[in-house]
Amino acid sequence: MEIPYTVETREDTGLNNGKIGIWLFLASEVMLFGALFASYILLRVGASEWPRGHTILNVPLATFNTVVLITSSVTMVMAWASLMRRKFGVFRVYQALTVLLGGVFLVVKYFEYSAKFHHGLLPHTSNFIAIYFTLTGLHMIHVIGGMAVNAYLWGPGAKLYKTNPEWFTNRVENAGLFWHFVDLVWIFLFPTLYLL
Amino acid sequence: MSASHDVDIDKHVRVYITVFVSLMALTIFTVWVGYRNLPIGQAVTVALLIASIKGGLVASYFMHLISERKLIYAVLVSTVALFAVLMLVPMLTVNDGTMVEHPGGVVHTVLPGHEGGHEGGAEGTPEAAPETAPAAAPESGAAPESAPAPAAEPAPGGAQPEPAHN
Repeated sequence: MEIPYTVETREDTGLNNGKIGIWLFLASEVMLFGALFASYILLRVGASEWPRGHTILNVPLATFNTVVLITSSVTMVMAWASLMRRKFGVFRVYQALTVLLGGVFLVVKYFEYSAKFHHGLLPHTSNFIAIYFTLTGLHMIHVIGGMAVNAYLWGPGAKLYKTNPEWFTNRVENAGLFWHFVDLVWIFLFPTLYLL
Repeated sequence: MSASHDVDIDKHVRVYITVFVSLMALTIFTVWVGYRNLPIGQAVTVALLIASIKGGLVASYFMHLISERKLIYAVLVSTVALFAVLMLVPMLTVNDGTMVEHPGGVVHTVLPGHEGGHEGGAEGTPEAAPETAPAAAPESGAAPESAPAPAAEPAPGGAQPEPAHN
């Protein structure tokens, strides 16, 4: 059975189903991260002492990761724009760059986490370190999830382009929406944890 | 693809590049402000303002919210409203008058109806503070093992005393 409204828009919503689905999912993600941000605020304002992030965390590494994620957002949107122009080869290059940049983010995070473990800074050390690992860990899981989807669309999932390029373009757009959301979360995590 | 469609996408691409440059500039500005050691109130305001501008740019242009359908806006408005409630909950908890700061600097919640009990006894009485401090310590930013006495110089967030840059 064919999946309805993958390309054509529904009359009542004016959108295809995939786009509504991804936005509803992102709305639930906002609440997930929102709950943790609320926990962070509660812990921080209830604490008699709370460190400024830059006294404990590595700001240069996190700044580098911010640049990496923002760049990956641009390559993601360029991948979609390439498909809109029906330039599949260019799409493959930008999509590969997006996945690679996600990988760079994870490698940097690995070094950052390793240094924390090496210094004995573990989640049970303090509430600051606990919320740091919780928020960045959850964000990292999202990066891995986004990379998996993007890698699939670069590899086996790209077969769809040959039979239904519009549907494939919509899939890439929806994957991009998730990836930009991951970037957006980091844009708030970075100053909240590392600079304040 | 028609020529006008390609021109349209070219415009989009130019916007993406402009947004990318703006995001980079704002990132540098965020870090610069972060190292200025502003008072925490100002630092929070500036950092969240810049983050909101950056987030707005990503959402508006990369996520195409600037030209999206009404239904998506409706979903997002409901989300923002619920998110605001979520953020207000900790604020209300903090400002409901049940948070009491002890002489040792430990913040403790006094539950309604327990004012005369153990927690009530701790309210502002120096001799009660040492009893409540161990229980309350995990709720503060201080680590249990690194906060031996309230009078000692507090370790930042209970972390190792020395900066842990790698």
